[in-house]
Amino acid sequence: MKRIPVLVLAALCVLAGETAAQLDRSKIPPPGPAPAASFPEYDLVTMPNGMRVIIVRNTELPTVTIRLLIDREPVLEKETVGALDLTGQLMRCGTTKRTKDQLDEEIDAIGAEISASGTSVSANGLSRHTEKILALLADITLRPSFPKDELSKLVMQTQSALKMRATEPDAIVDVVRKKVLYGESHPYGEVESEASVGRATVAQCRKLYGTYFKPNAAIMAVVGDVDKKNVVSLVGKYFGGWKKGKIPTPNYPAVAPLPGRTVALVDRPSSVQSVMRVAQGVPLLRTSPDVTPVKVMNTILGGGGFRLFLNLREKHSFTYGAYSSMGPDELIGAFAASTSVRNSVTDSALTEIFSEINRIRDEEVTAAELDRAKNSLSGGFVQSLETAGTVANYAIEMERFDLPKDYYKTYLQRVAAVNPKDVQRVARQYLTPDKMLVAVVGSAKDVKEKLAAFGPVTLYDEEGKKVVEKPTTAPALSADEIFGRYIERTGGKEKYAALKDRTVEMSGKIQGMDMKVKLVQKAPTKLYQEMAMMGMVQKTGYDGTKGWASSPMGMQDLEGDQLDAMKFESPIDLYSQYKDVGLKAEATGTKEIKGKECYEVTFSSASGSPMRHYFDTKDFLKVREVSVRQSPRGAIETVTDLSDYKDFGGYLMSSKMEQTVMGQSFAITVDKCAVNTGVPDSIFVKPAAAPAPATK
Amino acid sequence: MKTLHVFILLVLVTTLALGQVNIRFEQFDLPNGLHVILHQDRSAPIVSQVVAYHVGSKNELPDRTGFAHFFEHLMFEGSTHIPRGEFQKMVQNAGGNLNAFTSFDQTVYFITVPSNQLELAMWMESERMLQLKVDSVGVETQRGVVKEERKQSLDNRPYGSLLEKTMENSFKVHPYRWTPIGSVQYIDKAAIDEFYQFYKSFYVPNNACLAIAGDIDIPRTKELVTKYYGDIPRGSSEIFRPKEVEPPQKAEVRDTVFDNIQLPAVILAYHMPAQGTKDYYALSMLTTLLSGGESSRLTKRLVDKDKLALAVQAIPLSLEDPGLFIAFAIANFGRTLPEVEKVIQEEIDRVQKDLISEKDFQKIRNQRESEFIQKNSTVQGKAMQLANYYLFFGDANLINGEIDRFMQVTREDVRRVAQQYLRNESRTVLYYLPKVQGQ
Repeated sequence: MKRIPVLVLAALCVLAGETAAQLDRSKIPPPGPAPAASFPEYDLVTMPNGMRVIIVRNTELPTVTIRLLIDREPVLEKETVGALDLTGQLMRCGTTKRTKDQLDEEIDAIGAEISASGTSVSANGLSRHTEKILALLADITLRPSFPKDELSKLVMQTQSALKMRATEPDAIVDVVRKKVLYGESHPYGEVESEASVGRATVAQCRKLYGTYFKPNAAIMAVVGDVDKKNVVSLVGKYFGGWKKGKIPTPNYPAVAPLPGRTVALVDRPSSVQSVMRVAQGVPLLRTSPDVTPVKVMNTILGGGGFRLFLNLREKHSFTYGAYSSMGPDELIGAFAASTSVRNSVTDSALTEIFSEINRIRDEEVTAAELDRAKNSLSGGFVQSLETAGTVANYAIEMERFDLPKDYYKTYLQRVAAVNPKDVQRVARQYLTPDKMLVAVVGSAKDVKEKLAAFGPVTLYDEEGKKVVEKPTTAPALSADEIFGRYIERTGGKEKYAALKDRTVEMSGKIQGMDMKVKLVQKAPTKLYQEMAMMGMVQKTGYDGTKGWASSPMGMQDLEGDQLDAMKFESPIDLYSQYKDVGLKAEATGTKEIKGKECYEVTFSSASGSPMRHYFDTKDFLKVREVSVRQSPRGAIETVTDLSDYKDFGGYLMSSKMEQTVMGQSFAITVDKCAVNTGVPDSIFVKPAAAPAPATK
Repeated sequence: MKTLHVFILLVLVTTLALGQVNIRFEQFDLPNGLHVILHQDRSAPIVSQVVAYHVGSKNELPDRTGFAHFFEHLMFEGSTHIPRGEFQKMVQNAGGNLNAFTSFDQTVYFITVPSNQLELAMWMESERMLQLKVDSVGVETQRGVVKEERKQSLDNRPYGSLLEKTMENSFKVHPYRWTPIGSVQYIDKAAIDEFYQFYKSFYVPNNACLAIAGDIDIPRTKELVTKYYGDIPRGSSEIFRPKEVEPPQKAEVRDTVFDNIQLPAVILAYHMPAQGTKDYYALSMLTTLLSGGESSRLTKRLVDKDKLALAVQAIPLSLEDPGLFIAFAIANFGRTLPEVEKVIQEEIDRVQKDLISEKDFQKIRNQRESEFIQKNSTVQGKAMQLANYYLFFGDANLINGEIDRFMQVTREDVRRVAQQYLRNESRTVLYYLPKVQGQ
């Protein structure tokens, strides 16, 4: 009898086989059998006017996503780069039946969203409004009215966005990459600019629309809780009247590879980082069987957590991120390895990038890496099928590029079939490191020589134009000689030696708001500044050793870079005293500023190059000051242009300044300047904690 | 009689016209207090596992701000059986992806994998809940990373300090006065034994909700949950939840912030009730009226008609304790902030004065509904929402029903809350201006 309970107990243990007590946490659980992932079925219907409609039924949610793509060749836009995209956006801004206000109201009323670009018109919303959404889409696509004031608004918004992007090294490096790799007479070498966008006209938009927006070039994907019959009937009803016609099929000359490895450098003197792209064109069509092995190869080379990342970040700590992208295209595909590294390791980082590119060409990849890359791609693909929009895009892609109908159904199999030999073969075929472009945005002074090791270096400006270095006619002078001439010009040595204190009052407008600044300096290195705007007063001070500033939290002690910035501004006679505050000055060539040739003097400190001053080579007045502030985002330069020199108590000083920072300029005028008035020491000392202002 | 009949019909039609969200799930508690929610969705062969811990920056001490977020980083450093550096690789190798975030009120971890790797995901997540490796190498590595992240997301990004400045100006007493990223000075002070204490106090099953959504078999998944999470002991210490109540703000606060930006921006932040309250929903509907879609009041006037702003947004900062109703606008080149603020105020005055039209009312209802339905398009999103609704409201079924609370808001409610909460004396106004020389 006793035995049975034991047997029962044993049986119970076996049944409860997966209780916590038996879990061995040291073992990684193996995967179950791979689930079957399938690309959804879809219908393709061609309407009488040539419009192709793809319908993907997905009843998960009562929603519908629609994308209408214009299948056309890239367009060479020349002086009006960006006009095609504006045309698309403008379509959304009014039709012959509805003003923009009416469109906005009707779209919002059904809780939908509709947008348009130079290549597509898209919508999403609830499926019970499918008919209304299609009606609105048709109105926008077939009957745009191109209102002039809407175009002006779009142009202004685009120009604002471009202005903001223009100062970013990531944007600049991309401009140079495109222009050098593809050339300006290829559609891929064209870059939108404020000027080109500003040339777009309503007439031109109309013409572009009439040339390209035709049903026989249109592929519409409708994904969601819809049924084929209903969709076809509605598309017929609303888009049936759209007349087909020819659209241009331009031929572009093949893009030749660069003759050899080339370096293109855009000089940003205050950069502490080099933003880099190692790039080339890749002749690879979407229908090529090499597309999948190339994807796998690129993942191993430059996917997140793979070779470039592990090398440049984990192993060498050069950067926060290094990765590569690579893809096919009907004209010319592209490869680019991207990273940003501090100046001093610019060359080391490039050496490592090329070493990784060479390694993947010269050696077969390991089985472990290959599996991880394939798993990552497969998993990502499967997850992407969750989103209706992605499925729609895949379907359109298959149609557009004449891919086999089961292309995405068999995607996972193709990925699984890639072996190490395939990876090496496509690496050798499509990556040609000896003909790659190294595009860099960084400080030429610090990196130009380092870059020479990688190929002939050509300088470009921020718009991708080659910089022509003009020879200088001004005699070479040392920094101190230039300073001496400036001092002579603006008052003379004796006058400057007699300068004990100076109080300057200035005014200007920022964002339309009046601003007043009072700047007080006392020999040798005391500084006090008050800035008043909108009834608020901000104070900063430096007493020769300690710096402070007022802030929302009360008085704050300045430290580090901020304290240094105060220190460097504090000498009452900078050009005689710069060494005393830890600065070095070096004459660093000449530069043309507003038509005047100027001597450039670069100040440097232990932590970098915080200032550059420019003096007219003819009359030695100071034309410009550039001060640099480092932020982890990069160097931020404040450019102050000086003009209208006037006599202030025997000293020649500029009475008008224009300060530009991050694309925004504002003007400052000197209202008053008083020298040697006996300023007390107390104002430079940090005040006792201020009582809390009444509003808090 | 006839009138009543018609009325009922209208009500029925209105109800039927609303899209139904019908996400089915099962839920239960493990003996150790872990709340588990399982939702089957076989439309794609993937599964998403979410663990939400009911701890965020508001559970921190004032001299240890940023702690919860720092700890979130430590959760990727490894466990007894997962070596350092392997966490991400393991998930990638399995064809999945993972991430986490820390907010004021919670810390959420998710791992999404092909459905045949569910056990791996469970093993990994339960490993770090049970036996995370909290050692000095990990702590020091992540200390540097977190400080870099602060630099990158606050100093690096234009307007990055916006939330921090808004919160510090709007809250004087409540822990919402600091943000999850915390302060460098306190990040620097955090010591290893403090992390261990934090782990033992907050990262316990009775303070968490586990939600799994995707291609799963419910009975089998229940077994797996017990297998991997069942042996994790319940927490023994009391879970510290802040008791501070922010006193009503009696006077407007105005301040100027100078930042590395090109376009100036204005933020108006008004105190608002906590998520889930009746007035919260009314204020939420108000944000849709003000900035939802191209025809919305602020967008239409500021961006479209007057061309004063590049962008404008009204946001209900949805928090467990009373939060903020925020209106934010970026001025166009050459336009001034006082101009922008004036128009925002005009639109607020308008909502306070005039009842919105039936047409506008129906529009915002439709917009809300559409947004609510489209939120549920991925298993990751669904898992996160289920965990969220349980953690904060104690009712995971709000994933289906929360829309009803929005639909109960009336036109009068919208006007009333505008009058009651959007008052000058209970707001903070910040002007963000480009830094000028000497700052």
